[in-house]
Amino acid sequence: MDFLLPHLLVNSAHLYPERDAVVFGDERLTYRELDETTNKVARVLLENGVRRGDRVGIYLNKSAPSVVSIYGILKAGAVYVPLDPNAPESRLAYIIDNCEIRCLLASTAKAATVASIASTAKSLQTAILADGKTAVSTIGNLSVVRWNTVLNYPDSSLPENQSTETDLAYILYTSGSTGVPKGVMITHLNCLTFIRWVCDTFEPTSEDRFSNHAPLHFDLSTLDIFAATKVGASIYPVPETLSLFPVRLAEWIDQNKISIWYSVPSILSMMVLHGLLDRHRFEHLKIIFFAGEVFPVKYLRDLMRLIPHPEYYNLYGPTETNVVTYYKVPHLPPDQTKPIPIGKACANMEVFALADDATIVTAMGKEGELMGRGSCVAMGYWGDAEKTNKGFVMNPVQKNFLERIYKTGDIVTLDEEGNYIYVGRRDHMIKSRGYRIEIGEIEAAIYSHPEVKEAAVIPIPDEVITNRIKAFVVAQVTNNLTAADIRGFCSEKLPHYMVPEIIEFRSTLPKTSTGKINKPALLAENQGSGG
Amino acid sequence: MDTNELIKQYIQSELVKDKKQSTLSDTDPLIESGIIDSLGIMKLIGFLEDKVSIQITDEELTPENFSTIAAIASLVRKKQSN
Repeated sequence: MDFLLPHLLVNSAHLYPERDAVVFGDERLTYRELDETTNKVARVLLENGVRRGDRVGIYLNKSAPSVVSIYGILKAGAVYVPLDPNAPESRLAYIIDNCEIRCLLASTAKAATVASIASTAKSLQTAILADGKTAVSTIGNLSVVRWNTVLNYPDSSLPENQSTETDLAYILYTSGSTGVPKGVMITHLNCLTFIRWVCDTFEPTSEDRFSNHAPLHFDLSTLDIFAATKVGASIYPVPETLSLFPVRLAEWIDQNKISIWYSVPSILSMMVLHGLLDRHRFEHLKIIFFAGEVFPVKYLRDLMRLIPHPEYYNLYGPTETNVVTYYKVPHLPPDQTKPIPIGKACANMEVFALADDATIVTAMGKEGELMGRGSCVAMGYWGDAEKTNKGFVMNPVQKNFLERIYKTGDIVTLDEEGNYIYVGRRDHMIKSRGYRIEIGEIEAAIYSHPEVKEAAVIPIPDEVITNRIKAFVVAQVTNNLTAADIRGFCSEKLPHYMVPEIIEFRSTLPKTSTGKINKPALLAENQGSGG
Repeated sequence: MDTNELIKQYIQSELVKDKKQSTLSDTDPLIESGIIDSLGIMKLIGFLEDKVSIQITDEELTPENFSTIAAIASLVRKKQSN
């Protein structure tokens, strides 16, 4: 059986009990150990009142316990909700409250933050401290379960689980245009549709070592974790702080004999620029996947020159569908400057572009909005029927049965070989370091400052990280606010990648004839200035 | 202003996200605490290049050199004396 994500682990533990499942520094778990430990986690969760369909938070940095938590939660029939370890408390409290998380797994180092969050997020009842540290005995009014209690749990058999493939497996919160994040609901089937495609198409084996670079709240992480488990390969979570130091990250990839790498392009560009890649052979690398943003061709070409032997694939898809198209990058001629395509639909998924006149784009050069169809399409946004109905719409070209497809908001066109080419966005969403960012959410945060009269946020295109974020602010009283005030205020509400990097104070902002802030004028005056 | 103080001021005003946090000491961890993240390290390097006139090589971009204000200041002094 493999209709639920935890079945992947149960099956691989049966086939490869002594192979490494997770390796993180000195921590190493074999498939048998991962299977037994996650059974114990599931049993402890059930004993603490978690039931099928309940949302359970994961508030952990990259570690072996972060992978253990995922499978433990899924084996209890519950839904895992990754909480960004670097996000501000208010955002985490919103998420916990929004999807009514009652139990979470956290590191001991986060105990004080959990206590503070629990004072506003009233649903929270239980914290499981998923590491061996014992410095903390109480967290506010929460009931605290220690990792030793989990590891010494007397029963390590798999608890019964009545879940079906259409039950939720996880919820990933992404930026929302109205000022609060929205939770994308992914079922076991949604994720398995993707994972089966990955394994059938790229044929990884139990010999492979998958890096896990993306944070758990980012859907790129699901490829690493679930595809590796499906084939009995090893997962190598990348310590978060390593990404700051390109030379060390490159060493880590080589020394750990990583064979399948998946990340956003900006981290690969950083390694091209500052990683001294010519020092290593990376002889074990077989595949480099990238997704989340456009890879600047000049850095991709340099990367392919420095590390020529792996296959390179551009994967495309919003969190709401996971990956739906892919493109194998061919040799890039030195004079190519146009971005590489996002490619063609993955097997068992369908995409088409709908033009403004409601016809399907079939000709080169014509533009349309990309639609995703198939069992990869998520269930919508948690507790938000309005946003769900906006994005997940009835298939306009299927009149005979009811079927929802996802409107990606991405404008695409076709090339001569039938590959889709990404053109831009229909709305105000931007990308930075692969993260989706709704401009409106940043503006809402700045506007909530009592000293702010007007604010506008624009993206400043950047070769390495796609976009930097610039905010224009008009203060109620001139000279009363500093850039540090605005940044500090935003940091309490927004994750770090959404906090404006450049803040400019103005006495007034340009307006359109209808009195709205004239964004095109602000964009135009910033063109080519680099901020 | 001495080097430690200059670096401390920059980090405190530009990189510390939690404004409630009390003043940084020279030995407070900057990386594990998230004060220096992937965006922050680039801003800090830009600052050192523009305001302190030193170039950080790829080789010098290590966790050891950026772990604390004291470590950054020591790197800066070493480079200034060369």
